[in-house]
Amino acid sequence: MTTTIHADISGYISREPNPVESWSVIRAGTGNNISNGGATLLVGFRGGSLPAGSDKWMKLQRGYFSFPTTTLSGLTIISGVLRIYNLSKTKGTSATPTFTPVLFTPSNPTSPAMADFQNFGSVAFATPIAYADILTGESNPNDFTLNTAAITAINSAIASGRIGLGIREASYDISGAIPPDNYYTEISNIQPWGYTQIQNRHPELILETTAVSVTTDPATNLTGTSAQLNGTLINTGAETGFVSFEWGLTTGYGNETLEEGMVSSGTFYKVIGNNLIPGTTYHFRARARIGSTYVYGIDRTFNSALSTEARVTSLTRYFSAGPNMVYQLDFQRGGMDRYILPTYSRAPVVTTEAADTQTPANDWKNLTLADYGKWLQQHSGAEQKALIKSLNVKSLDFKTWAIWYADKGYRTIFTEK
Amino acid sequence: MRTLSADLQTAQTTGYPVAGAKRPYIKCIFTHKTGTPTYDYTFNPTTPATNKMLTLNHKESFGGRNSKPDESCVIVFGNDDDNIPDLSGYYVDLEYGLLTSSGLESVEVSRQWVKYHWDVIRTSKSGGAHQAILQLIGSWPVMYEHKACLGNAPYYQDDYGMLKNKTVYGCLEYLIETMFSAATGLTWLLDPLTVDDGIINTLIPWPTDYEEIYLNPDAVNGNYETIGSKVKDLIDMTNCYLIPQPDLHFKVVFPQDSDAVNQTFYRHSSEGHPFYENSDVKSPNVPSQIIVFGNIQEGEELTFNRGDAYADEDYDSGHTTYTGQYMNSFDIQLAQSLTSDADCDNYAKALLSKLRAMNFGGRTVVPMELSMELLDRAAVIK
Repeated sequence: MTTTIHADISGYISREPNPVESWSVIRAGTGNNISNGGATLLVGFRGGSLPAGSDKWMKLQRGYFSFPTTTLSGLTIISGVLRIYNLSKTKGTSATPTFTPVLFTPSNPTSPAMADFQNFGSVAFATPIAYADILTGESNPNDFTLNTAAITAINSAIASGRIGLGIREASYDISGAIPPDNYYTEISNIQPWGYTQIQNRHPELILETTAVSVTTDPATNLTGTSAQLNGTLINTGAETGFVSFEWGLTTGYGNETLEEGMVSSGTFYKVIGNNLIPGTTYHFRARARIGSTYVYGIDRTFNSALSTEARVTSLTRYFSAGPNMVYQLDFQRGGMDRYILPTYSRAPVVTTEAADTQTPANDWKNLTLADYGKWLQQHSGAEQKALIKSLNVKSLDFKTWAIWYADKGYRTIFTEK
Repeated sequence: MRTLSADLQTAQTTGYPVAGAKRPYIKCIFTHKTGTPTYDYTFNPTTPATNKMLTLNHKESFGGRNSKPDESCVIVFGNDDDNIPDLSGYYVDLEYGLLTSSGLESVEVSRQWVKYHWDVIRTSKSGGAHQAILQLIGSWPVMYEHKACLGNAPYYQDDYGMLKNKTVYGCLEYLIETMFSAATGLTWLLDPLTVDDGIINTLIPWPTDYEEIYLNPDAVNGNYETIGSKVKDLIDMTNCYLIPQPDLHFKVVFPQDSDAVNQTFYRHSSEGHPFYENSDVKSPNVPSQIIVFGNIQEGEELTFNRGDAYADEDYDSGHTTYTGQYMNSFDIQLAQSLTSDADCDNYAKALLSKLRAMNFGGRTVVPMELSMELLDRAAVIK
């Protein structure tokens, strides 16, 4: 669905030094002039009255708009266009200026100030439009198709209630390259209509939105080399979609999980790894795809578990030929000999299945021949014969006894009788 | 870290004869000191009907600063046929292994001797159990059984200076290859040094110009040193450790921070060698400073050499203020034979280094890992 919002605050901030300044100085300087909601909105620059190549500049202007986002609450933007109207333009003969929207983050979102001259972003939010392609007149809109960075920024700003965007000249102001037309070069007077001008020609954001959204939930089941990434799909519009995760060492991610179909709201997860680096911070975010468009959850991080490394200072090899063999190594690292162990266990040797799938449910791993002897002492010959099928009971019958004993579910040897 | 054959490695990590399955093999042949007779009580997974071994519990530990190295083993055999003879005094070169695609394969560990042979019989109204329980000890405990008798009776204080003017390694070589061999009637060897911590092959514990008693200094009160205690004292003066090897060898190990991890253990077998259980514990540096005094001379003026070592992370850059999480503490070690501040410094640093290595403690239980040996660097991914 399409949702359109209009700027309710606009203007420009400029630096107009006297005497004139070099291009690098004027770009990095503090704003000293502002027009809040004026009749015109200027973006561009003007050189000093000096020969070309002297790098002297008398004006640099950056325009801004601020859009309320309350009407976007509960929606996720999947694409959009920034539309502005412009009445006139002018430039020098050699300059080839281009224009692009950027993020604008004034200290006070509803009341920008001259000091916000340096709060215009430098990341282009759309492919810049060349001066020659800038249309003029109230019937000729200039549409900037917003890129992923812009959509992400607007989605992130929905909760705050307002998004600020700016317009900067890209070829020289953003890049830092010195414009070739110094002497009387003027490309100012790009004029997006302000709200005080012709109605319905306000700067506007025309946004494609969806009711589908996704949240990135904290990662769980962290090991040194693997992690479970979690997300929640909110699909109030019952639109079909696919969910997946992006992950990597930076917010650039670089890895993605396979998509899984998901048509209704709910949680989803994916285990990644076996090759993560222990003790490392990873970024990840959940995403959902509707058609060819992705919606993203916020960036989150997790730390893969640390590896503890130390010298082996003691090792104990243990073997038991009981009915379920034990063959394991119990080693201590560092100064473990100095401490009282809080836990102790023995696990059966793996004979037919993977080590970590062994269940400790049966207690025969704790049964010893001594236990068997105790049991023999506590039971009559008739009782022994009932179990062993012979009155000539030997230690070799231990296995039969142990399996029977474990099957009965006893966990403590001397409580039976 | 011991090297495993490819087939043994596969059997350990993947399993054999089917994936995930492991068939333990423990070679266990008891031998009389003369070479015969021998008694083979190997646990062989391919001949289950004749196996006598019920349990085995074999511990190796190099010991801390104030504790002896330990090598001990308890093996319980079923002896219903009453066929196991008196094995006390016999030795065994245990080998631990698995059934592999190439048959039974194993790796040998250092020799052990049967110190106690228990004969245990349990009875009941209609049967019982007969067991032979063997308690064994390894090279280090045997070394502690033999007094360091060198020189003239009755005090044996190395009257002829056999340990004099030798480096630590030279002293160890003499104690192990000459004294220990003579005491036991066996040929013990100290492997050539492949590492150098700057102390073991440099420091001379009993220099020629030091005339005080070095060996058995308290023999007059009946306190004689053993070969084991002297060897332990010597190796403790360095950053190195002494590890028993098969075939009556000892090797010197110098652990360094740059050493690679030898084995890594994981929560899940899908990630690598898994662990069943892991416990880690940390403690503050106590003491956080070691002071070594050497060559104390009581003349008109008391003179001595001194060395200091600090746990750097517990102090400011000048070691004047304790900044650690616990409280300042120091320990003092006397090393009378050290005659320079530099030697005292090195000794203090070696002592502190070994103490600090003990501040972290971890215990891990894993399915049998055959390549591991003492002082390997093991990592646990938690």
